[in-house]
Amino acid sequence: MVLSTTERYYLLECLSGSKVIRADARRVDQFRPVEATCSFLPNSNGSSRVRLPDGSECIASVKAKVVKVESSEVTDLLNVEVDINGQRDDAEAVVSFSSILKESLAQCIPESLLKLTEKYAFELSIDAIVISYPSGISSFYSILTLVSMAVYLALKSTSLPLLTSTTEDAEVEEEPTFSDDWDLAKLLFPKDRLLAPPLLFVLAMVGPNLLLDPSVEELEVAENGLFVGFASNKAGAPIRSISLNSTNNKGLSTNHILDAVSTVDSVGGSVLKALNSIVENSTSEF
Amino acid sequence: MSRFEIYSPEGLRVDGRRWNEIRRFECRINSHPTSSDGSSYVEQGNTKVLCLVQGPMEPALRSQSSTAQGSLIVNVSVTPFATVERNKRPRNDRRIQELSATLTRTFNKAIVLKNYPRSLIQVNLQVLALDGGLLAACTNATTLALMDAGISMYDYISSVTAGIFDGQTPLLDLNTIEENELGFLTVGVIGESEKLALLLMEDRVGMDSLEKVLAIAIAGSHRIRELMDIQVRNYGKHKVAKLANQ
Repeated sequence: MVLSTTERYYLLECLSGSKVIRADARRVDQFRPVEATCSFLPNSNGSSRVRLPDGSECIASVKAKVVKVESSEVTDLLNVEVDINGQRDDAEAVVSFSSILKESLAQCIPESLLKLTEKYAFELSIDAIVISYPSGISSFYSILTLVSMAVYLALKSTSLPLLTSTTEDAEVEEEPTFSDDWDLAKLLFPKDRLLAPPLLFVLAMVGPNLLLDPSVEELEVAENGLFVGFASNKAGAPIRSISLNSTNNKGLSTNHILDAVSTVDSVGGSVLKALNSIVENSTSEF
Repeated sequence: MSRFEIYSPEGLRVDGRRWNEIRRFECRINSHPTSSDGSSYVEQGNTKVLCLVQGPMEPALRSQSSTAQGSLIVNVSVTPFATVERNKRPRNDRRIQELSATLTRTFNKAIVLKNYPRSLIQVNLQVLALDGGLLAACTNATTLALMDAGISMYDYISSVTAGIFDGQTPLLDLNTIEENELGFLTVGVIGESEKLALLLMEDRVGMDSLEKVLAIAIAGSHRIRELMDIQVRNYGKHKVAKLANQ
């Protein structure tokens, strides 16, 4: 998106003052309305589709496969791939999104969750596909929140078949067998446990202020950017600075970073609650 | 020999259909109003295809612009999770490239391209789930999305697959299991006529049974055209009502 000098100046004035006025009348820590659905792909264990009002859309799928475990590393059992429509597979955004998501997931998923028996475990293949994004986007990092929400919802709606054979197979030669009744399938992330996949929040810095979920115009005037992770009900690693456009770049101060963490801390819980209600209200067609 | 009974003596197929029945066909037009000029979503049985059309717009490259007529680009991408076993296809997969070439050829003739000189029409197809009839679902989705984009076309192109069982019984609208077992062809029919805009036959189908297969495929395509037409007209009515209220 190309802004004229006047437009840019106007936006900067509005966003960098002590009282922030965003072009779409949002609060600094308010999200745009998100539209999402879950479990609509019959071939996947979990799936989701998330859409933003500016037309960006991401579809995520989780597929599980039983594999023989050789090492006890969770990273070997996780396979995260991001695909952005129209971008090459080795484009910077595609590669870094995959590794950011994989690392943050590996920290949040305990090995016991995927372990099936002594010898076998589930291998998760998580695919996120960005179908569309605003045409004048200046940096792909702004859609990281969208991708992480899609992955969150897909994982939350993932259900795995119930194991009917024994879990102690260190001595016996037995391949795991499963119940063929999908009504007995259990969720990968049980409802009653606090355990949840991580979310990543992108914030744009304009002057002394930080804006959550920046829109395309706000990205254009952003002076710097940050993304902050949110897992097990508090903000935390990964925290990283990202450049949201190529024109202006100013340094982040300590205050900005602390501000970002406390903003994410305060809104993270309600975002999780909203996303969880989508998972609970979605009825699987299959 | 297959594990499945493709066509039972009682006349039922693996999924319980008769020989001349199409699968559940559902389509939506204008599914992505903000992110594209035209969009559609087609479900043919368990095959799910999403189509986004951009354009007519100014091409990014000079080489894509022609003063005589508009140019058309079709991109097909099959998501890695589309099949039961996860399967990541490389971007330059031969089959996918062939598929987009076939679609480009078909729609070059279906769109009134002379109305769009120096313009580019870009069609992006995303295959979300795959259970047979890939080309057919892509064709139907493209037809609907182009209509939604308001691009002038001569008529609907509606498409379906048909195969032959035991050299005698033609079967309509095959799923993956049947596609793997039988010789089949895909047709794309122009509107309500019996003219074909698209014919793809990659397996052996006996010459003597070709007529039967084509007949049922054309009849199936007409049915799909009807279903698409209902959806397009419903959407049109809905849009007119919205405008009238304003």
